[in-house]
Amino acid sequence: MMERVLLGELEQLILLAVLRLETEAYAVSVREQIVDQSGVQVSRGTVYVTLDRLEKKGHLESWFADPTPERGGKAKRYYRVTPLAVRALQTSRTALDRMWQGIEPAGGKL
Amino acid sequence: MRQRAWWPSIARWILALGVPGRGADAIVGDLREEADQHRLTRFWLLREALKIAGRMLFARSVGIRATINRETRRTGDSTMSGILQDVRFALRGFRNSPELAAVAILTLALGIGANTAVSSIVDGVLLKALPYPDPDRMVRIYSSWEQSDRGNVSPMDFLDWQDQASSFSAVAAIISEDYAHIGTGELKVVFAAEVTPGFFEVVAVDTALGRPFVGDDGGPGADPVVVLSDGFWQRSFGSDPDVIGRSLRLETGSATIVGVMPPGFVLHGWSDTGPDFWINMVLDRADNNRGGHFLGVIGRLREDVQLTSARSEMDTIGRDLAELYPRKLALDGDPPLLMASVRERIWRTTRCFRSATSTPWRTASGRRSPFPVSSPRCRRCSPSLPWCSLQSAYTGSCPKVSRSVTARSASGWRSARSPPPSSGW
Repeated sequence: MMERVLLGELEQLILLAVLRLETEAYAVSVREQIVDQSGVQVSRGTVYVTLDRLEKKGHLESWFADPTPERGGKAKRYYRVTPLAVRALQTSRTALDRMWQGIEPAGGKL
Repeated sequence: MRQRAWWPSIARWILALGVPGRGADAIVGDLREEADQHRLTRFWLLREALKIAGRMLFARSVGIRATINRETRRTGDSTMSGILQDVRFALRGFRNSPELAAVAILTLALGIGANTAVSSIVDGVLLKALPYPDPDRMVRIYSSWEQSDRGNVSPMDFLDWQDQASSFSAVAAIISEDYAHIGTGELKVVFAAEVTPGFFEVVAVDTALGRPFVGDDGGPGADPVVVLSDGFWQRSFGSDPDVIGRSLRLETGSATIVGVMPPGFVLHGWSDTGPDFWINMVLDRADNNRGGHFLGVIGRLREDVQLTSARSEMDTIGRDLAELYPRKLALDGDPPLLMASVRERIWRTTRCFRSATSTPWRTASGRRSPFPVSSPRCRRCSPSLPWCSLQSAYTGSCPKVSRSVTARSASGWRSARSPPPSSGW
């Protein structure tokens, strides 16, 4: 059987945030998206480390925009998810869904 | 919020430790954007930069460990005992994370540098031999009393030691003093060391020009004579080889120049550059000053005398002096502590008892001139503190261990912090 490595919880949160933000996904907006939508407080360092790790794993691609004066001449680093990430997200969700089967509705056995 | 230009630069530098390439710039831009948006301070920006850099570095180090673990499993060597293997893994990890390597190397460099600096200081201050011939024969001699077991010495005690102690080829008393030197009409404060004639025998360094002090220079009524340091000779006399016999004009009188010390000779431990000149100290038994402890005393052990023998002799001398001057017992009510001890120590402290003692003693000594400037003070003391601690390297030292002879003198149990009596005992 092929070994499947599921995404971590934080990895899923970040990939989903990048997906939701579409073309406006950079570290600040990703973190805000996670905090606003999930209520999970994550530190900036955690976001940067996870973005870096996901990029090395091939789940994210990044590029630098043009520098803007509002940011002191510093460019934004935008991210987008790769097809590999989409498949990984689906795999993780499927695995979790299967695990939840029989427990629902409303977490009756919890 | 408008950030000053150098704060983002510092943040960029910090982040560059953990984030490669343009990523650090992007994070600085993110932080700046948030700082502007939420009106956060530049300190917040720097703190966040530090936290992010730390997280990134930590994550990279974890990644390196994971790589090593994978390699270990692959090779089947769970003990990682091969040095070459360790080196290969380390180099691989550094290649994968050059920033982490830079931080590690920087940390090592700082640690090694700090250790080197401390070692140099310890070696120079504590372990290195004194820059005099046969430094292991040089000793520092103290008075001791209940408040201090290593105190300075009174003039009468010094004279008694000088007369009675046979363990030393020479002993000398020293105090440092500021003088006002009148050079070419301009008044300058110069640093002098008043020494008894035996000083140059103790340090065993001869003059480059002229002569050192001789016995008559320390007796009552002796005229003031000085031996110049090489630096002072160059600065004030232009290295004039005919300086011997000329007068050194001081604010309160003149002193005859009798010698010039060779280059590099300093009063080790007293000052970084040494005194500008040495001037003869005149001690007169007629002053009978046994209560004022302000002399530093050094000695040179005779070649055939061991330190233990010198200690025994000083013990005896101290006991004899206590019997000769029993009045102190009645005054202070302390038992006569006559013990003399030789102790090994690696840190020397001597105390200078300045303003309260030096002037009365000199006044009582009847010395004609020169007198110190009106407010004598130790160069390293606060003027408001009559007592201070000075590091002194006068303690005789073998190359590894310093030695000192402590003699509990007859006057020892009189508090050295109390002013000396205007008249002697």
